Amino acid sequence: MADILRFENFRLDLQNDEGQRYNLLDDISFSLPDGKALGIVGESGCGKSITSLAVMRLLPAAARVVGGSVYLKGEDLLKKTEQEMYQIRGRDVAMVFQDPVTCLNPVLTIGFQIAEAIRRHNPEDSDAAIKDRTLALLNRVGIPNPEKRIKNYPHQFSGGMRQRTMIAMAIACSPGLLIADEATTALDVTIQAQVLDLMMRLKEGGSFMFITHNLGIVAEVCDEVTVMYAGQIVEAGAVEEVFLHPAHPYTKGLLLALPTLEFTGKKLYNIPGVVPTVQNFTTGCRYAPRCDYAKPVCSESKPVRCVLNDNHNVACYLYEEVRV
Amino acid sequence: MMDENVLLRVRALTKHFNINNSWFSKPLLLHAVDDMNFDLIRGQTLGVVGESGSGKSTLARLLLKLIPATSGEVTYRGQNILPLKERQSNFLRRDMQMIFQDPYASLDPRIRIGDSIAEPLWEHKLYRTKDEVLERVGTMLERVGLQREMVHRFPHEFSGGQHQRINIARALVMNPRLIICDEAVSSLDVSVQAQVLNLFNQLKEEFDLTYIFISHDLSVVKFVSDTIIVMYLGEMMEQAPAGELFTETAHPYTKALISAIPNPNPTVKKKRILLEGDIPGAVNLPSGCRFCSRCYMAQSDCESTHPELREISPDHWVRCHYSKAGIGRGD
Repeated sequence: MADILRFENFRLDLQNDEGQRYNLLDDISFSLPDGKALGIVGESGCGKSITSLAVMRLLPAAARVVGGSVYLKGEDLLKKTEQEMYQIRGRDVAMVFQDPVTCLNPVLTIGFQIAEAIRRHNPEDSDAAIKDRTLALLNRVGIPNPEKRIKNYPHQFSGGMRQRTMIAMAIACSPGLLIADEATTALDVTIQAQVLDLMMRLKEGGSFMFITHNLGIVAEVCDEVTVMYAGQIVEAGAVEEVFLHPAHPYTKGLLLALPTLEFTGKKLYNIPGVVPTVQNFTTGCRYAPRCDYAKPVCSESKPVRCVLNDNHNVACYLYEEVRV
Repeated sequence: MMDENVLLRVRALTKHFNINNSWFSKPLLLHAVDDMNFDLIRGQTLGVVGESGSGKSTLARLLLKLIPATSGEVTYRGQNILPLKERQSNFLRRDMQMIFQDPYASLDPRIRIGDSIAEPLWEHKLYRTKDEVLERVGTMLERVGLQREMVHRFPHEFSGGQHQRINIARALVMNPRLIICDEAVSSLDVSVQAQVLNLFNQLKEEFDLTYIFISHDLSVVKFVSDTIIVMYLGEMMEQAPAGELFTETAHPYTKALISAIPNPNPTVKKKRILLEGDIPGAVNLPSGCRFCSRCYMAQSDCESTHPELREISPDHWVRCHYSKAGIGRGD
């Protein structure tokens, strides 16, 4: 199966106002096969959002790409001009963000904002045709009464409906890849369930990338998962493999630290220390200062990825002997 | 239940907000909290869950007398606290403390954390000298897992988890009996959330605390609570001992909430109950059950008759015409 998205040795620095540089993303490599759903999980500051923004080439001004490539359908996105990116965004790859309130323009109608996305990539279509497509989209994302709702403004929509609108805008031009960055985090659980269900139905045939801190969502909707910590990929593989047989101490810790409905103990496992900020990233394995199993070598050089089996690899010195 | 074990008794507590700003037209009432009844047992943790708009934060503010109640009674250690004047309720400000959701917004960025924590001590004149206060603040910092030397630092020098620890220290410094945590761990990362949750449990033993733990996250509430109240549109839908709520789920809304939690175990493929539509506004409420517009079990009389709370098994209350104990079992 061909990969729709492939990151190869992607490195990114952040530069502050004084010109100091800090490495954020360290050698990010992963791929997303066509038609699959990939979850990227990690805590705040691990670089998962900036990874997804790199696909859209919407990086913040402080970001400096220092190496590697990002291939979408075999073409290197980092070599595209801004003009070419205009064509790619929305048509080949689209994104749904966390906060639908700040993503929708409060003074334009819902219908106008969805039609805008269609018009951008189909400039020759008639207004009537675009309106029909807008109505069909609203219908598809489960907004009742599309004919009436098309004239509404964002403040007349509830949080769940706004997120449905964002999804409608994202799928307006049937992009090959849809990226959802914490798309359900701001929603109530029952609404989150509705939106996840909608995304699963839309998924048929398309490729998805879910950026989330919620391990439960990844387990339910994704085929593959990449676990990030402080700008490094620590573990990756099929969801069943990684969640049932976590190999990296960080993944193990995360899964144990989560209170689940099945958990009946009185004390949760906790990972000592705090999530580091980019100024405090250490050399070698960045998880080493918090790791129970850290050896001297861990803080000296970065562990190479060890292949555990076809669907599972981990970057940790504990697994060096099983490296193929 | 022995009476002296009840720290807080809430009876028919109601809060309606008038959201019509005009002076002359009829008031438009938003039913934020309606007819809440529960007993809070000393040394226990009461969990309150519900989605946004269910009235759980309003409930917390009512119990602390931060906003006046419309009607009802809140009895704290045998005394109804709602009619008390601000001066008379000074002792409540010592005994009850609150920890808020946003750890950054609850500390003044320009005040050293030691001074933030010491502020209530000065206000209530609990100590006379600076040294005594400093000693007390330092002890509290150590109890929540920070260092005594940190008193001179400013909030920006701390991470989110540490901020929340400072907020906990500030709550504890008054030696309270009751701490209300309003979404206190919601903004924390998983690994830090686990640290803070463990800290809550540990401090409960150490200081003989009683908690009211408000959250939208059922798994977190289940971990810390002895009893759980499920709220929807200002009403209590179900109240049960924490374990029983999940094994003997009685209310269709609770059942839907539980099924909506994404499970991190990929082998468990459960059937999800998808509720239709959104939480409606708490204005112009239906005369019948408030949940019936989204309920998958609703019958015709749910729309017309308002269900009362029923005790279906000891300490397990539910507000539904049709629920029986244990509808949540087996699926």
